[in-house]
Amino acid sequence: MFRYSLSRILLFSITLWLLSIFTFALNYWYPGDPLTNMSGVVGEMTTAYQQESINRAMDSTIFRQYGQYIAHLVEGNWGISLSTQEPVFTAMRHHLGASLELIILGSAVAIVLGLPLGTYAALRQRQWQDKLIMTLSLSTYSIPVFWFAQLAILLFAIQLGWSPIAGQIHPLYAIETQTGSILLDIILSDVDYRGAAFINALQHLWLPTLVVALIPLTMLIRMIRSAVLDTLQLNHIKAARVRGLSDTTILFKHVLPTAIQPVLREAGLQFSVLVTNIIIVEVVFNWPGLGGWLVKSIFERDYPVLQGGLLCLAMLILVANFTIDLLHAWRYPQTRDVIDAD
Amino acid sequence: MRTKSNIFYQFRAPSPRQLIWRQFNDNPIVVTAYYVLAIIMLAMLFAPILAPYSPEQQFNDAISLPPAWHPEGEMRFVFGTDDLGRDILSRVLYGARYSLGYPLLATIIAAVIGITIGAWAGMSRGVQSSTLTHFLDVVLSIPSLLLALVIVAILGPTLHTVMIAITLVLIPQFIHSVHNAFYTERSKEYVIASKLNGCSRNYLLRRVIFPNITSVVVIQFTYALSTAILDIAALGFLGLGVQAPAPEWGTMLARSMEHMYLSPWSMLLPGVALFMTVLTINILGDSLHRAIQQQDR
Repeated sequence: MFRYSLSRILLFSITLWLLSIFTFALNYWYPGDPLTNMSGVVGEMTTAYQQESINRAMDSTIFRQYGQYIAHLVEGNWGISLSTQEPVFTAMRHHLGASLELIILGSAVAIVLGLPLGTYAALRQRQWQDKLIMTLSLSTYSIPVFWFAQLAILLFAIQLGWSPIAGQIHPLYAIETQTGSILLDIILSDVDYRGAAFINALQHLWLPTLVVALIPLTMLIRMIRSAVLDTLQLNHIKAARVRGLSDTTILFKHVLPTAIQPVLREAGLQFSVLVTNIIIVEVVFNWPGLGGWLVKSIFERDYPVLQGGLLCLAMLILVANFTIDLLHAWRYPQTRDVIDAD
Repeated sequence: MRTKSNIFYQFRAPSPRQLIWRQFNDNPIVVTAYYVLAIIMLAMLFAPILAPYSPEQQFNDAISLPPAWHPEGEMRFVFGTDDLGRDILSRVLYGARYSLGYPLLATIIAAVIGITIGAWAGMSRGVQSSTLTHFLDVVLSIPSLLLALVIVAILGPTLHTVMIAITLVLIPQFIHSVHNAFYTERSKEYVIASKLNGCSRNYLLRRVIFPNITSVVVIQFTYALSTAILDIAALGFLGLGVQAPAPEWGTMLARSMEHMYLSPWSMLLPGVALFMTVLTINILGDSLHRAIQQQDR
């Protein structure tokens, strides 16, 4: 495990290093002045610009510039936004909270619904229940997420009026932004109308969460179904049957723990699909998360914000993959050897 | 297989392609998907003949008209008109070029480049190969839409930059799958046998290994095509892809979003077209995958 963790950590740091080189190079590829793109300081002649130029070693070699760039990133000095003049790093923390809230709730819904449905489909293989679940999951898998979001708004928000169209909470509830995640903010705040605000936030929250959860859910169903089917063929299941164990014991004690293993690995790779959906859903529902922030920054040519959003989203994905890799190797030791053999 | 000219019964083992075709024909859903995709392709090619109006023609007397089955609808605009009085059916028919034709083109270009690099990398050993795998793992863990967004941010949102972005994003996927397929095939016995026979590296690549990894390439192709379609539509939806007045399906959906209260029908046809296209491609890819898997057994 130690050797495996070491090799993963090494790979992870190399990846981060490559990512930082990429975002550093982007500042030179965007139109306009590299220093402005990097720090958000405008105006060639101003003192602030010259001060920043010295800070970031702009008249020195490209390697020193890169060194300064990394130093600034590590200090949390990610420049200021060109459009709002706010520091990117503090703004990013709030947007990250809002995005994480959707990501965590969405994947929780996907897991809670996907696990039983996938297992059920596998146990009813080739019967109508299985066919129904598989057909539904294949067709929902092909729905463009922005169209699905539109249809959901049309049905639930406009026709039925069960939920507001967009946003995080009604602006009447003045909740101070601390973490960015609205439910946490309400709990942390000390206003008297906390209960009402919480219900209002939930009304805003449930529709985007369902839309975000849909595609991971269908993928999870397919993965779990095939994993359970593969597991049912294995010898230790046959042995358990021969020993006369009941079907529920076999399912919960022998089939599911084995079937989860490949699913966990693939689910890590599917995390990037979830992030893609988050970007679009946040734009459709006007959710103040990283995705909407990033897309808005492209419209506004706000390069420091674009860099912050890109770094944050990419790091989120890399950290998630890294964690799942480690978790996988910790729970299932046989995968460690495979990696070591490479 | 019996042929008409041959009166003697002769057993012939069906070729792999025929086997896949039979597997296809067994499943009515797959056959339907095949024909639906064919119809969409034909509609794309013959849009100028099929479409009743030009996609940019505006009818001042018919702004935001509902579809024909609605009491206020008119028969001349079967699926209604949008907020500028343009016929939605004509726009969707012409839009198939942007939403299916261009992704197809991007996928083909990406496939040619990606397979070439992937084959070369699959044949080489050592450091070169392992650095490439690690690097590709990193690139692939970042969602394709995010990369495309960054490329569009550098080059600006126009049709050809979107094409460049989508092609660039798809190339690593092809390299990855082809590289892995080559890697596993390379150490198999038939390859070693032909190597011992003295085949040149070029012959080994094209005639010995490549026919055996066709399945991987085909599956990757359908997967990349549906990714390309969804990504181009998503970019259009975000306003960073093909620009108005081009009748791209994602752009049309974004426009219909602004008029959701007044004319909800304008999101119907572009969305259905996009959904049907992606669905048929996914069904075909999925069944192809299953057919090839069954053959391997």
